[in-house]
Amino acid sequence: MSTLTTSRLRLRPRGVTWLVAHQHRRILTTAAVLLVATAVVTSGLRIAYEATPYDDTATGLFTNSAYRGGIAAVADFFAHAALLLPLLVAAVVAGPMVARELESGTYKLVWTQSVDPARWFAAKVALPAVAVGVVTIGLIGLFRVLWGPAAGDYRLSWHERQVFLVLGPTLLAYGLLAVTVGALTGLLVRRTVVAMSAAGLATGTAMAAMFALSEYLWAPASATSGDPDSVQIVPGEFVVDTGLLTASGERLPDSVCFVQQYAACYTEHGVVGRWWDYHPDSHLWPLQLVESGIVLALAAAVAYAAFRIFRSRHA
Amino acid sequence: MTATAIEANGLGLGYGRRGHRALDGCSFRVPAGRVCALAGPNGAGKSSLLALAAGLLRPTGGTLRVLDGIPSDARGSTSRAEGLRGRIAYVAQDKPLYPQLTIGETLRLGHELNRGRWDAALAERIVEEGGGLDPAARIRSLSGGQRTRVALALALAKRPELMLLDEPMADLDPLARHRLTAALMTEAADHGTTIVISSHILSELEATCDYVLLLDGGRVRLAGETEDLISAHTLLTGPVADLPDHTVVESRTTGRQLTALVRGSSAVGGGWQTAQPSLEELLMAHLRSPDAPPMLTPSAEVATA
Repeated sequence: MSTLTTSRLRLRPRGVTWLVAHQHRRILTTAAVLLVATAVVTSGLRIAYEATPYDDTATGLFTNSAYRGGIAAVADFFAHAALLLPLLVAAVVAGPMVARELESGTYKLVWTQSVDPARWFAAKVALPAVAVGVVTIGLIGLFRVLWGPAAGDYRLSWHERQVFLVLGPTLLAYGLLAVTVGALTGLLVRRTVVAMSAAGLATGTAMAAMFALSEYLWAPASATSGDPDSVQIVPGEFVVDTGLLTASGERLPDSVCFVQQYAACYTEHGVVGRWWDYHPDSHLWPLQLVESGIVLALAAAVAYAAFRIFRSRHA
Repeated sequence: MTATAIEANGLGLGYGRRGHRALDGCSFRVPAGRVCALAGPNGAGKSSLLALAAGLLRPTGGTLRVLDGIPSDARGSTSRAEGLRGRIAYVAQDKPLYPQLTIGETLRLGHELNRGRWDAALAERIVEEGGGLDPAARIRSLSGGQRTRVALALALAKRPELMLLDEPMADLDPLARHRLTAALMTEAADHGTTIVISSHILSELEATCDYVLLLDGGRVRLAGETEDLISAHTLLTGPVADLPDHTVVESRTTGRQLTALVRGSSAVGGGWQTAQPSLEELLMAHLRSPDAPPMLTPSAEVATA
């Protein structure tokens, strides 16, 4: 047996990498199959859409706009599913990958072989990190394939949170954060099920907190109009805040004139128009990069903490 | 002085905030090349001592040196610590193995994590001998005894200089126990491997072990060569009377008959029948008498700096 395997080993993972990959080969295979299935569905829809003439009602199975509607619905589902991906990753790393070893005692087997336990822990972080990298970059690319024709759909505006995440590196950043949060939680909690919940919760909290901050991570553009009763926005622009504008240029909140006789109120406060702060389309990339940078820095800090704790507690 | 396999100096291990101490001020030495019985009742600290020596726990007091390295210290000298891990094999009491792996995959694990040391032929021989285990069988489908066989195969095929075995034979039938013990002893004799084997079945130890370490309540009670410890004690039987001038480990009266285990081998007069105690009698007498002073033979003494 051993002679047979040694000849193939050169291209295959060795040592702890082999062990970790072999232990978790089912979930790795499942992730690969799901990614391929997503790629097939996504590109199939896009090819069918592109192949259907704009005004075709006779030859094709569906009309061009029916395909677009289908693409929008699938993209909407896709984006929501991707939103859950970091929570899933954190739970898998925390529970089955780390806490179960500590709970069931199998760590005693691995840590007393010839390999430094810290290298084992590094493999437990690095392998899911690589897998998450491949899957999220794949998903981001595939989402772009769907999003192209359906970007005008109200559910798929770039600033919808779930769409924003899957449009760029933020999804990758949150995936990597989830890996490190999962590893740290598994190390601290040491019980499979509790660690899975705690890691999911911690990652969800981090994502929610960053969501609350996200629109402030790049300075918004400002605009005004002479009509206090309407905001003149182009579809795709993301209004962050709006209010009433006085003749002196002072910005008042809308709440000042939440009264029945609002016209009289406008006169009283000298309101002559409306102001609004917004993110135009062009802010997608600055917002993506700043948020990804912050999340990656957070992931690095969590990984550092996990390794420090591992070193101080165990060998 | 011969090479040292394990040397503890004031070794202590506390658990939890209340400071329950699994080991308390243990100082002893186990020379290399010995088959050492680690005896003691449940809760004596046997498992803690083995886990410390394997580098899974870190002492809270004192020092522990194993094969001239510090097992729990991997920082600073990673390569040396890795080297040390490779030279020590440890089989935990619960024989942790991955239940979802097959026997073949488990041996592959041994190969992957012990590159350069792994003896695949030996591992396969131990797994196949006697039971004829199927390499494709999953660990979770094995009986306790079969799991023990796989765990010992992993430990032996690593070709360690020191084997730390925590209650290894507890769930084996007598035949399998005999076979695996023989395999262990052959290995020890052929390669000069030091074996530290814990058990609370005292009779099991006498035949195989030439060195004894008796722990009780986290402290060392006896340590040294089995023969020397036995010959340093005498079992006295006679009518109830004042015992001669010896350190008495234990004395018991049955009717008008008195049986005592005393330190010292010199002949005593006064109508006493003298006999050499068995290892089991020696250990039991010490466990029944917690106040008897500890005894370490010269090779088990730590040279205090």
